[in-house]
Amino acid sequence: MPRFTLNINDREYTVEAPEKMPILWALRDKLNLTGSKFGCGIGQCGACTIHADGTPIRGCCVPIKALEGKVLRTIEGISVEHPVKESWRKLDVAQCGYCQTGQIMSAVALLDRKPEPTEEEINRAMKGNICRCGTYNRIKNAIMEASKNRIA
Amino acid sequence: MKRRFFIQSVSLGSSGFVLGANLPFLGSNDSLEKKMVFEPNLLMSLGEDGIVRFKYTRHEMGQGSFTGLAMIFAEELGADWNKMEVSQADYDEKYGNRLYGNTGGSGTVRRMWEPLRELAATARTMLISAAAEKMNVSTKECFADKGMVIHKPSKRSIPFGELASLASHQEVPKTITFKDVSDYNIIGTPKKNLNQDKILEGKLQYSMDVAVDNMVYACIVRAPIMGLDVNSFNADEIKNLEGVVDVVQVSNRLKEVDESDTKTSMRNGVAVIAKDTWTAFEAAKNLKVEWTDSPLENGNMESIENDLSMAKGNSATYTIFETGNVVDEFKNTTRTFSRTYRNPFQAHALMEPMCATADYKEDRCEIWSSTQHPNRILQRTGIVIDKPISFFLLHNLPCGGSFGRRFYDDFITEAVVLSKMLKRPVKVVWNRKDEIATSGYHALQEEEHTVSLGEKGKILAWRLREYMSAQTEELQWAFPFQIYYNTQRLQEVVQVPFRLPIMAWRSVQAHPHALGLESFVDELAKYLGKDPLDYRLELLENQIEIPKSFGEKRFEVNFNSVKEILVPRAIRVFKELNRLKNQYVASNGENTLGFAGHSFGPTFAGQMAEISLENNKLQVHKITCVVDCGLVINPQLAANQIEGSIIWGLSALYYNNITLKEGKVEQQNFHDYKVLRIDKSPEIEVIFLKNEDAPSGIGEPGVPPVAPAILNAICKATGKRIRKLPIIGIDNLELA
Ligand code: FES
Ligand code: FES
Repeated sequence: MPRFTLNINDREYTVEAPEKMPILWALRDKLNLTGSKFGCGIGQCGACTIHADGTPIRGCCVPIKALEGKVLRTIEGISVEHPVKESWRKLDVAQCGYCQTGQIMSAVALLDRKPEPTEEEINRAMKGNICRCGTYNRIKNAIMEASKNRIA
Repeated sequence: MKRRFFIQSVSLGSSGFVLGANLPFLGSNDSLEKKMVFEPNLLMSLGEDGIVRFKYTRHEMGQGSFTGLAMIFAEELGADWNKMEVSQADYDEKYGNRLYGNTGGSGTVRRMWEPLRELAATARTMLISAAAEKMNVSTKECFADKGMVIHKPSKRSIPFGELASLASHQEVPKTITFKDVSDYNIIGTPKKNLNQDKILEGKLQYSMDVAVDNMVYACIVRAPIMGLDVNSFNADEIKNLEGVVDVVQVSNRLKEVDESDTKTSMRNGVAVIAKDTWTAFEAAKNLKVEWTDSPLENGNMESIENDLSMAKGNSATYTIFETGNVVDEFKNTTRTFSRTYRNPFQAHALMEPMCATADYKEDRCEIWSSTQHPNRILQRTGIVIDKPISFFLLHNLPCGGSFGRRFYDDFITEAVVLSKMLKRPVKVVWNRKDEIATSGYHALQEEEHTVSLGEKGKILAWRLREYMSAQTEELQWAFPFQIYYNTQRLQEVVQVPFRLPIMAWRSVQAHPHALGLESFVDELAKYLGKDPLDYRLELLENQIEIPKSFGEKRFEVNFNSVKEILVPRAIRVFKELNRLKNQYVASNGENTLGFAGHSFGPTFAGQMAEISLENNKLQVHKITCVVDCGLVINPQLAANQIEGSIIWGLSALYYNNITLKEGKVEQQNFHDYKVLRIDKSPEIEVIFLKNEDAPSGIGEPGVPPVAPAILNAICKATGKRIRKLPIIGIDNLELA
């Protein structure tokens, strides 16, 4: 089985896995980084969102092979004091929480790109992340809150 | 409001039962090591460190009762909220049904309210006696608050930790006194979801995240139609794939043992066992299974339509209840008004697909999964492998949403059967397609309301016929949700047997029922030329005598509680909606308003929808939900539940629709089984009416009013009435 070297959360990992295995399953089943979740496997729900060189990607759709040499970040690599996590905590966004790690990864990437997003831009960036518990309004408010705090 | 539930003193009777205690109070060896010196009951232990360790004995699925139950306990104990440590209890029969019953029907807080307060008040009484003994004062002069016992006259105080050992030697009180609601300082405050921090770090462990030594992963290709069995499959080909460990057949033999309810138990199928989830998923895609012939009639949407219209002429399978003589009234009636409303099959589409890990050994089977009903699933899984409930050790982990789905045993039985077969730990992972296409569903149902009208539009009789795709067992959900007892009534169910397994779904029968009733009342008001909110209040305020109980035994409901709790709550809620409406109109609001209200358990929720329609493009701007649920334990998490329920209701209104082709579910994933996304989420406001009655549940009551409130608004804006869910094309509404 092929071996891959990956840079995840500023650490180097070696994974032995089938070439086509999506990064999500390498993280979850091989590296015990289970914060990234499985929801649909076809890029529809966003539960598996991670960053590759700062860009949000759907971990269930991108094979490990394509990610060698890239700087990867997962929910475990976002500091607990990150303004997005702070505002999530403040607004008590999570219900079951299962979608939230993906939501946060999408939100962090959005604010890195656009520190002051409009509602329209939030909708566009977050539309790929489903929350079946229905926490959307709190997510929206938490992003606006984090945006304020980052700028302040 | 009268506080009829706040009994001041309770006699404990034989305390062992009430406490669920492991007397004597010196605790187990294990706990002594950790200095857990005061264990007055099965849920609590207190160490010299002053930390109150509380066990949560239900299932946390995002509804927040993990936090809520701890709040109730901490409040009644007089604990310091910051010194509570809450953990999930493994399932154990020792807790009994009272402490570890099922999690469902929005009933966790409602059902645990009494037992938790009894346990906590007992422990508090013992802590107070310990403190009084230590300070040499009377217990009457002491009270507990924020983790201390305080002597009122001298203001001396002793922290719980210093009392732990002495408290364990106190006598168990024979009577206890509950705290007065005016002294509450935890209940009613917005405490954070206790799992929040773990969630944000990606550290909350769900069933999907479980890994144990020597474990293998299973993906099961299940019978696409319930009841089919495996004829043959390409075992050799699949076994040769890299990473595949084995391919085995799984068969459900529950049917042989327990005929009564097999539809929610595991399907027959073939399991691909692999070294990781993805390999199992991929190999399963290449699995070719030949199935036995279908033992049932074909199921297409056309045949379902046929069955439904045929059923219209059938006599009732059950009379749910009858007051007066409705049948005779309809024989002689001169004017009737009748409408029918349709709820489709709906899937759960919970965020975390089902998952279970089992490790079967000779003497015990350990399970890591998430279940709303541990007793039921272990009993039923036990039947399949001939073992009693005590054979299992179940770690009931929090889940990524359940909404009724994890009430059922299938996914856990699968893991147990496979682990037994393979003699090693097996993790069964459902992919999304499995969850959408081979699951159980909310019943397809039609609600046909007919009234006989007399002079000035007075209702002389009211008949509700429900055409339900339910099995007999599921008819238990067809209980009367009625609040308008203004005339003689008849409610009956006509069973229309369809082939899909039926399961509970967020708000269960209240959903189709509210769609029918709250649309119908609106239509009737319009027909009679009345304002819909005024008309509801007129019906509610002119009730006839409600008989104590009637109809079939199984459907018996407590009509006293309908009269004493539900009707007054409905009146309060509709009056508040009326106030909001007037306020909106006075502020020159431009959108069209629609209203609906419905009960779930003793909770009543009403909604005001603000919508606009431009070129048939529906925009829901805001939904305001007024809730009367008794005492609100945690306003923050309770509001979360209502917000989430509204989003759930919108998904059902706009999209959710499971259809069949040749008996198989056609939908596969989120692209063809859509749910609401952030861009369609309206503004939501939640208003809790102040009420100090016992808390009555919050997880589901927000769902039922959503569809009728919006459909009523659409009708008001366009004159067109939609009577079928989901509504077609929200961006270009099909208005017949
Ligand atoms: S699991 Fe990757 S988008 Fe759903
Ligand atoms: S919080 Fe449960 S799915 Fe989003």
